[in-house]
Amino acid sequence: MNKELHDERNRRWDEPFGEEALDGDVVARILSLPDFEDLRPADFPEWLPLEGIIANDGRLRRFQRGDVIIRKGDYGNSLFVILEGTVVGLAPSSDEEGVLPGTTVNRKSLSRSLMQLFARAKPPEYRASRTANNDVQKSLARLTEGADPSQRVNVDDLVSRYSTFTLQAPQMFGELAALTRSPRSASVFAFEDDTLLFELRWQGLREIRNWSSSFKQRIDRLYHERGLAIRLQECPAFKNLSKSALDEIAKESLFETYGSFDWTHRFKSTIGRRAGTDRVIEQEQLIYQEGTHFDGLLLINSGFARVSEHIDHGERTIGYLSRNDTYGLDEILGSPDNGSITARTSLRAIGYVDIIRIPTYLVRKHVLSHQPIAVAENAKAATMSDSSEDMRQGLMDFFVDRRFINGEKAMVINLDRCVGCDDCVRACATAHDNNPRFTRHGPTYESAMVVNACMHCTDAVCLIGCPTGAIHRLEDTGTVVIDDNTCIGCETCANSCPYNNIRMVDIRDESGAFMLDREGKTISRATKCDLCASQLTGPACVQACPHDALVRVNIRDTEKLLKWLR
Amino acid sequence: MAQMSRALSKGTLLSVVLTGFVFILFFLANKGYGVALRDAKYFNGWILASCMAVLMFFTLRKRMVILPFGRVRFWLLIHYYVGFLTIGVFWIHSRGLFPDSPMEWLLWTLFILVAVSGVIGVIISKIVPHRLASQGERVIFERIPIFRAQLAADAEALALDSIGGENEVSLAELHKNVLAAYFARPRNILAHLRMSNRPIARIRSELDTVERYLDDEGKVRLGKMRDLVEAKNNLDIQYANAGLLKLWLFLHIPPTFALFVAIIAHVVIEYAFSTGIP
Amino acid sequence: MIILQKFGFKDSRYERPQDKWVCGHLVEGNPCPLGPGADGKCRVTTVCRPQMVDGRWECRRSPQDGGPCEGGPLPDGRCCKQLEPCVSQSSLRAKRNRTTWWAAALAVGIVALIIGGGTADEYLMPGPLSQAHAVATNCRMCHAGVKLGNLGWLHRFAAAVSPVQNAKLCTTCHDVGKHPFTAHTSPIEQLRKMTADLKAEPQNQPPINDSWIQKIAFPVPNLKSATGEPEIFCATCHKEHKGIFTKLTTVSNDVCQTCHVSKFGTFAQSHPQFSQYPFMRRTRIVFDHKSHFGKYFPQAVQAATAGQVVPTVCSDCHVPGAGQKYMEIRSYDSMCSSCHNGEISGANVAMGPKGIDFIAVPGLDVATLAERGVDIGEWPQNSEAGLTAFMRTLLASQKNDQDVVKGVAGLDLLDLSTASDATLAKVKAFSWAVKRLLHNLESTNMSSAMAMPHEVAQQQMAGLTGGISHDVIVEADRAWFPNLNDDLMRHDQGKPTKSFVPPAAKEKAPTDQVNKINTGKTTSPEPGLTPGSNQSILAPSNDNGSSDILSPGSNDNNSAILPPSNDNTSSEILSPGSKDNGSSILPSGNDNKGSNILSPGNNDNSSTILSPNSDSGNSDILSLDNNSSKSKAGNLLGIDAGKSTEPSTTEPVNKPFNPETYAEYGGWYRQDYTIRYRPTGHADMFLHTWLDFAGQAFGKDKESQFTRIFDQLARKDSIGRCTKCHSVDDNHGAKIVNWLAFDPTGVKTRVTKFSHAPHIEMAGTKGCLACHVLTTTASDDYLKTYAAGDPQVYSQNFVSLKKDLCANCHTAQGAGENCTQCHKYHFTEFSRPLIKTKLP
Repeated sequence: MNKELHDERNRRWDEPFGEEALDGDVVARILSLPDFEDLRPADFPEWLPLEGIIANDGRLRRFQRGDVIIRKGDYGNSLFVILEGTVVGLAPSSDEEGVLPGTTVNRKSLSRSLMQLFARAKPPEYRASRTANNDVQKSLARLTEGADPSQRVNVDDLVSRYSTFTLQAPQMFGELAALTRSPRSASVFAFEDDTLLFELRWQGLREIRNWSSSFKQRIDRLYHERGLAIRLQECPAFKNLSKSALDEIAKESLFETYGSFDWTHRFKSTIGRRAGTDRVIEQEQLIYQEGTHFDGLLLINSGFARVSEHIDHGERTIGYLSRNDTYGLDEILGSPDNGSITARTSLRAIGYVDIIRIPTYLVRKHVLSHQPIAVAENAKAATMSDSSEDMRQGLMDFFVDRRFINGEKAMVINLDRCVGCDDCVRACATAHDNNPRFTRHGPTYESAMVVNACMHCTDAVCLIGCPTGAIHRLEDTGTVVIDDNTCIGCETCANSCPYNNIRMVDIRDESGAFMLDREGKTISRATKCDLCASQLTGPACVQACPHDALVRVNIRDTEKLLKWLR
Repeated sequence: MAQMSRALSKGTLLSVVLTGFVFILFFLANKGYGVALRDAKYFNGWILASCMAVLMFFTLRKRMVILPFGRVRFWLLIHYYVGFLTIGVFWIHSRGLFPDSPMEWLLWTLFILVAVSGVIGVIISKIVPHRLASQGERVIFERIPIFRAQLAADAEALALDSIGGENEVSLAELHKNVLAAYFARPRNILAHLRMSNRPIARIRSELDTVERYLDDEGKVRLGKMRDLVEAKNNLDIQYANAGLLKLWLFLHIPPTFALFVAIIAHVVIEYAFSTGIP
Repeated sequence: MIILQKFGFKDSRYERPQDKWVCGHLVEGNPCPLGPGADGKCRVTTVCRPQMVDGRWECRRSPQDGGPCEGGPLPDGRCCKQLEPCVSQSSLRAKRNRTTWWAAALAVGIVALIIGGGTADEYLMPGPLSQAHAVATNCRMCHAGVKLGNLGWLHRFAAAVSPVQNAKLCTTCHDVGKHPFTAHTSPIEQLRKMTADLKAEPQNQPPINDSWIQKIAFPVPNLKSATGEPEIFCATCHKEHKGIFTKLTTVSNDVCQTCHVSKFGTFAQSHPQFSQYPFMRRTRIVFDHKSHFGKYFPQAVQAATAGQVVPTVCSDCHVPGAGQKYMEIRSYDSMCSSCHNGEISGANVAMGPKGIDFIAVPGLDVATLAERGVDIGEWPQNSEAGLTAFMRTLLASQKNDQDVVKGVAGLDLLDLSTASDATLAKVKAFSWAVKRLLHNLESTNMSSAMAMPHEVAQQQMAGLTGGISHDVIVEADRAWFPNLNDDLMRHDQGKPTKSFVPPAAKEKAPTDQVNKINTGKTTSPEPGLTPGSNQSILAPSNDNGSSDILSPGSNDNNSAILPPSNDNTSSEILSPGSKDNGSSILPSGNDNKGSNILSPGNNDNSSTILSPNSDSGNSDILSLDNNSSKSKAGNLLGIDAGKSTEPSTTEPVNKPFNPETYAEYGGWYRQDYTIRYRPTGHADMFLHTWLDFAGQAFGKDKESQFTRIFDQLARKDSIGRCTKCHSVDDNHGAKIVNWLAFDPTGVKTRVTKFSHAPHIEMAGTKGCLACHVLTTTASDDYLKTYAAGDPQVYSQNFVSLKKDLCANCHTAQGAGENCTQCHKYHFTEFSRPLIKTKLP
């Protein structure tokens, strides 16, 4: 696009997914694929043309035999459609220790860190004007086009050693992760040289799914067929069931969602209010009412659910369930066969939760017949009650009501040790061109303060709304980062972050004055903690804290957290 | 008490023992040096200097925080224990006497200043955070003025409101006479450092005295005013103690650099007048 | 309960604690969103810059500030919300940093003041100097490389100053001998020797290390002199600037042990045992305490002679010397003399002469010589003296007479009857040598006569000559050899001497025989009647006569009478008489009458008859003659003299003169044929000097000359008894007589120190014996060892002290066990600061 019209403000598709937006005939070829053939451009609004989506949110990738296409455990941001050649995937069950070469994280060199250290202090939120050095930022922005040869694996060896499945044109894969923004369930390798793939990032997928109902149905069906079986296999309860059994379960079990997909706004308004925490529970959609009839085992697919029991006039939170946890095993175990079962506890959707409901008889038939004890333990493992440190109710409520359980890398400060020296903040600023990326305050329970710094949530709702995919997970670590060059400052992520951990800033020039677009408006960017992904040290805040008062911790890792808080 | 139990943790004891051991090592080495027909002054002098150098590393480490040289907290621990060690070494070096010449008065004073402020700092940073955590809302120090201004504004508004409504003067007067000043700036700093309740108690009683003149509506306002006063009180506590946490460094860091200068001069002079016996 | 903080991303911006400046409005509580620039200047103008959009002004406030304001821009397009600019404050951190710089600057200032202002020795001095060094007013006195002026000391860095240069400054005042920077300020060789000796010691045990501190000691700094010898400097131990009253000399034991190979812990445990302390050698003065305690003192007490001193307590003889280190002994005069003077003066010599033979006329078998025609001139017939050691020396020193003594060695000079002619020739030579010597002694003084082998100090010479007067010699010569000159003259000319009677012809031989027989028969009791007796009578007669006349009479008479005996005139007077009577009568008397009358008269019992007769008759006759004729006085006295030698003197005419008693209090005297010397008392110059001098001669050339004298004088029973108490040490051959007891002041290099004073307390009732215990061995062991010359071989009266004795009290808690309590670091005497004052 021509530079004249272009100013500092980012717009959607300023940065196409690929090196360049795909040209017409490629787009045509894509649309002619069986998966996309029934899409009707008419369904799409004119400001969001189907071709535009394909052209900008999609790209072509060419792989050689043995190249790694997707890694198991990486966070899926896209789906693939095979145009040419064949790919081979490892069955999710098979553990693939050492099959895959380790991923290379692009860290700064020591010299660059030093340079950064002694660089002249830049004005707050300074951004180099785009025309100056574009490519540097591109490199950060872009996912790698083709896999580098060094990462190749020996496919034959793979096939011989592991149970694999092969797909060829024009089949589609990776949509499961793309839809749920969950880690990849299986690794996929190119089986032939010059395997050509069309990759569609999930923003594009989301748009198409939104606007084309037919596509939505097919995707979901596909998800049921392929996804569910794999999905079940993942979770411990169903780990070692036979294929047939899994298929049967998959066929019979239901796929449900509770809560609203964008729960955050209401949550924030409530929690913001005084004593809001008491009301939070009322908003949470009830899945099971304590004492009501119970007709099947629930497996949490994604999101969180609160387990609570009724006491006096309120609900006491016993624990919560997260991905792969099951609800109801105890009930089923405890009840006589073919007797009616009632739920002993209530289950509520914390925000938005995907659930797979498996009929009780199937559970009896397949699961319990095998290893009831193991299963039971698995079921237990979910709840909080197991950690050696006793989790006080208050703290539990604090974490659950405020939904910090979502945090993978939450910043917790121990106020009994924090002297408020702000070393953490300054370290953060040093690591981010003289700009702090968190504010040293936040909700506090007793001496534990959960700071307003990105928690890199398990279920990162901030990712949902982003129109450009500027905010995304790093494939390898799952760290949620914002690509400053693609951020259009729409505030979607900031608004949708339930914890106020994303902050908008108006960017400035060398003089420290705000940059203005052609209409004289200030230009905003979303900023947040990136766990110092590019730094040698890891999170600078943790590095800097002199009193061991600050930690980045997975809130659900109660053991560690409580020990540290003590 | 949390930080007490932490202070007496196994690790701490170990470090203390280790420090003691190192000091004994130094002590013996020092004797062994002096015995060997050498001038121990130079030995323990340089040990002292190197100890201080190690102490200075802490600042360096803090400055180059994004370099992978280990977490600052470990450096602080080193800073603590080497600090204690340094005091011991200094005692040996100065033979536990107050020196006789101006040059050494300077050195002595500066060192003592740094050392004492350091020790105080350690104690403060173990005790005060707990206070802050237990006393109301933990706020960012830099923002305290803003909140104070807020509270002041609210209080004033409340007072005006009380007049504006059915013309109650009592609360307004109270505000005019007492509260306005109270909200205007940080108050009772020293009292708060002592964790004394006297000031707030006095103001509470002021408020109580007014209560009887008020109707229900007024009482509600009074209640609000009470909240504001409590909030301000907490804010002052935060200000006082957090301020203390920041202030003690003024007695620690500047003297350190002064000491650095003095030490250089000291070394130069010592070698100028040295007997030449190593 | 009010919650102040809002966490919403719109309500709470990032705090920027790293910034140097904060908005000036912060104190009022409403900081502006923009914030001050890096330079601290307030940058605010308006909240937003409204833009004209198709004819209307639109607010452009950032959504972060709440989006477009409801008020909207003013008609003229200015923003409605004016922010008044502030004076931005620097953040607390920034303030702290500034304080830091100020503090550093202040420090620089103060340092500059201290260094620049005032004089270095006031402001830079690390501590006051010790009293002793109060005089040191500027640094340069002790610190090398420091120049004059306030900043002079900085010159030290320009000039490379070695430790020794500093140390030399110490020695400008303090004199620690020639080797100030060697260990113990003692010559390296001496140290090496001491080490060697220590190693050589039999009981020397292998080095120990009982001192823990030494096990962790650093290596000693390797300071070497130009010659590569290890050096150590004053400041190593003497640390200054430690206050006025600090003792600079206090040194910790550890420092001492650093160098010493054997590093012991406590004194009691691991300090080496003492060997023979405190007696490193036998005492110079031979004093057997045990025999004195046991025998002599009690005897003296019983004898209770007037003025005799008998010690009762140790301190009667022993008085503490300087520093109470040694108990020195009282003088001889005060303590010993009352008993021992007699021995020295010879007063209580039972028999034999009480003087030391100096010169004597060796007795010769004159008769035989005469008979055999050996001309030795006149020679006193009945001298029986031997050749004295002194004469040997004197003879030896005579030129061309060297071997005469050797020639006659081993001969019995009193009986040469069997001697061969060669032997006699030797005797003759010898006799003439003696004569010449005596003659020389008249003309040349004793000292030159002695012809000392090496240069002799005047004082010593005086001692050697013993102040002998000329007269003694002359008188002796006259008495012994009246015609000495003449004899010598004739002898030199080869003429026979006057008195020489060439042997008679063959016919006279029988008479000679007879004579000989007679004499052989009758000599022994009464030489007076032997043929030669006349001479023997005559000779003395002259002699005695002169002396007799001399003693009472005036010199004038004497000279008037004596000289003629030599002169021709006198000979004219006397000689006819004497020739007529004496010579004419006697020979005839000898030849004719005497023989005629006697020989036939009573061959059988003449002796029995005659001997009494002649005796009495003679005497009677003579006595009568005596009265009648003056001229015979000589005979009378001569006989008297003869008589006096007899055991019993019937009638004491007047008290016989005894030259020995005459010289009772010392000095020269002549008796018969010997000149003797009697010691003047203790510390007699003559003996003292000769013993020293002759003792030295041992092992030298000319040894033979003097050693005899030494042997003579040094005999235990010799007159003076010097060596009875004064031990004689062998010193590389030479023999040294220890005149004085050990003299502490003589010792220059001293390693240990001790003072009796502090130890008196612990002596208790036993007193000195508490430490000094008498040995139990037989007492003569003590004396035996003095027979030999080696002072190191000895046996003491007292048991040598053991370490344990000291270790009782000397512990860390008790009397202390510092090295420097008993050991001196500086072996050499450490003199006070030198004061070199020029005469005004």
